[in-house]
Amino acid sequence: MTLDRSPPTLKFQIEQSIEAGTKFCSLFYETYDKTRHKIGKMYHEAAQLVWEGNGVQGKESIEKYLQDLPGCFHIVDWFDCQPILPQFTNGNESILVAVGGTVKFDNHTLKAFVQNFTLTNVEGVWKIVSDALRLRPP
Amino acid sequence: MSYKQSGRMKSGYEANKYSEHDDRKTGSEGFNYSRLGGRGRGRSSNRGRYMRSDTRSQSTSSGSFARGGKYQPRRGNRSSHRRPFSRGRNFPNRKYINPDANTDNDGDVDMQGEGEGSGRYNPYARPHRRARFVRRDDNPSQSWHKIIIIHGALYDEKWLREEISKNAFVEYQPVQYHLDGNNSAFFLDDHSTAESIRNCSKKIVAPDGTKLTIYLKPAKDAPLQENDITLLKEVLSERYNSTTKHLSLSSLFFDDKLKNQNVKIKVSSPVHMYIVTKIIAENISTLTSLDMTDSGLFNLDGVKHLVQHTPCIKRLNLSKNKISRMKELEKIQGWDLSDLTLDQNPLCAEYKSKADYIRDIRECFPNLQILDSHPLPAPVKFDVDKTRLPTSVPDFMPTTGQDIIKQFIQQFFKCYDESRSQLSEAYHENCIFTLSLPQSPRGPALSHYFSVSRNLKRIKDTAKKISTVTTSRNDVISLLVKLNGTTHYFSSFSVDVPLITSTVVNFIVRGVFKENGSNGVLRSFSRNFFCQISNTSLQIVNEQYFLRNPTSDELREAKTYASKQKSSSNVSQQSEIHVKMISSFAKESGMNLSFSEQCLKENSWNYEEAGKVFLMLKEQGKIPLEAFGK
Repeated sequence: MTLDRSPPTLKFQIEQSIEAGTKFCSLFYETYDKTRHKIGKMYHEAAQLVWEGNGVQGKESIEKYLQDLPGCFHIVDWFDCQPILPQFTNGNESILVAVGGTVKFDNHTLKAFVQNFTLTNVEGVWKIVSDALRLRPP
Repeated sequence: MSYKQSGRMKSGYEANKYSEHDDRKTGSEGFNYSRLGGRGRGRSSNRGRYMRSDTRSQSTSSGSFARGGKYQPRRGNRSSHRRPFSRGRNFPNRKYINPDANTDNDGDVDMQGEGEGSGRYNPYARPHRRARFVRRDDNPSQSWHKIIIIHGALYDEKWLREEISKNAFVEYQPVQYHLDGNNSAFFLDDHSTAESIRNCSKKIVAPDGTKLTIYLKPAKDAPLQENDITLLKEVLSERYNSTTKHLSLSSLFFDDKLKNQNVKIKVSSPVHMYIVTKIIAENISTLTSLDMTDSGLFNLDGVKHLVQHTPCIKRLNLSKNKISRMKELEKIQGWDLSDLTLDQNPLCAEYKSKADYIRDIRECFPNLQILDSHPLPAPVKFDVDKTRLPTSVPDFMPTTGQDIIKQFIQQFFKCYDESRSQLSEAYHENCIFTLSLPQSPRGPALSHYFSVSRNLKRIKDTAKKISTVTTSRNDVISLLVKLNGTTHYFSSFSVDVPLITSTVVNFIVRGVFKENGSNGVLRSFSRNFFCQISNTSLQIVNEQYFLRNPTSDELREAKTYASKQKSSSNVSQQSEIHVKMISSFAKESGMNLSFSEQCLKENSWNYEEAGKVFLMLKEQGKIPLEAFGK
């Protein structure tokens, strides 16, 4: 609705964010559910995880924290992504991704989740800078 | 329909009897027919023949349904079957409706303990079941009535009561309000009150937007009297062993002491179990062992509500009951049992293999050691312990910058509720905004938001993927202004701050708000803000707004938020008025602020009265000099 007035670069950035976000969503949850030992690679060295209000800082700690969670299976119902304009991030290419759906942890009832990510492009590879997850009954 | 009815009424008892009989038969036929749907159509000619012959016999025997004895096409066939139903459905003045048929059988318990255990929604079986009530209840005005509120257990008792008396325009005293599975129920002895409450069905809107269904049913037993309950208390205290913390409820119905007084307590009836639960919760909530042998339990809907009051129970004896489904045991999963006795229940006979039986029971009670007085083999365990989820923490806040974020949130949502068009300062001029909805929301429709929502999982068209992003301050504000008016419940808020640097901060606010308007639907939200920090103030650069309907827990909590919010805003309004009064009183009287306040306070904030008192005291020279010193 506002596209005509906005500069073409913004449209390009939005398109970029959609592409990166869409790919990220499918890749992240597939890795999470099936090969979680590899998930650490998707996080930035200084990433921050907030898992149900529990803060975990740094790639290694996050990797260990996620390994210790029970096995799970995610179904993504919706997701949304936005570019963060480079003027606010010292010129870094960054996006916000919000995902919602349901998750079944082993030996637990089905839960609904909402997860918010900030991703940044480090030398051509997208890394998670922040990851905040909240669960609730479906 | 009415003229036919009155015509048929004349056909007397004989016809009535037949029609009832036929209802029952055709009822089951009709059920099959409708349930099988397309699949069943013409599936077996055999069945068709049966139906035809059935109709014929019906028409010849009752006479009043005669349509010619010939073959009738199926359509006509069905309609002729239907007519007796509709009569059955319209039994005297629609006074009583059987809730069983509408509740998936998960709530209601047959008070006599003669439940049929049919778990299916079976609309065509209704006339026959209702017909039972017709016969049983000849004069409803003389007996007790039971009001059943479907899913009433979700809501606050007091709230329900207020809403009902508001909508029914009656003052009433609910007798023995109790929970029955997911429903709640109470008794009334006044027929007209009960009727008017029943008529509120589908008129009361719950906080989650659903309309409450209320049923009226004749109560099979009168509710217990006060002295009956006192006697029950005595009996229970005799049956309780304080050293072993063991309570025996076994064969309570046949208890001699109760029997002598003609008090009949059925643990299988939810209302009686609710009374027992209350007594236990108030007196012996630390009990560890419970015996419910031979109590006629079909289900555990009543026992379910005991779980939360007695968390220490380890031993449970349920033998000689009529429990037939594993599902029932799931209702008491909250008890961490180590010793369970279940023998002589229909459930046990279902299992051919003992191993399967043990496995299924262990699924519910993983720490069980003794089952039916046999020690269990040690469970198969591996040392991976990957079952526990980390416990939830309400907020995640950084040590520095907390105040700025909190202040921003407070101001932002206050402005959002009160004067949304003035939010422009909060947004950066190049801000980016999106709003998302869940793919299949349950509860009240979110259609109002649908036109602006963006779900990349659903949108396939690239142009629409881009056009649903709002990319400037003015557009964001004009979009927000178009959305429903809101009242946010600040006490429901929780905040995560996953990212904060010296220049930017990312935080997620979750909580509940009420939409303004007559319906006042509650919604839950999660808003992800990415803000620029400039001179200790924040400006939104990106926002992702996710909106959904609240869960039942959130609805329950929302009740308390609403009342809290009201009182706090009252207080702040009050204090604002007081501050104004003090300052103008100080100006007029020439006293300083603290003396002005004291004077006003002593005259209970009556400005004129305080003025008179001031003048009087001043004339008498009783006001100390320091009152005029600044």
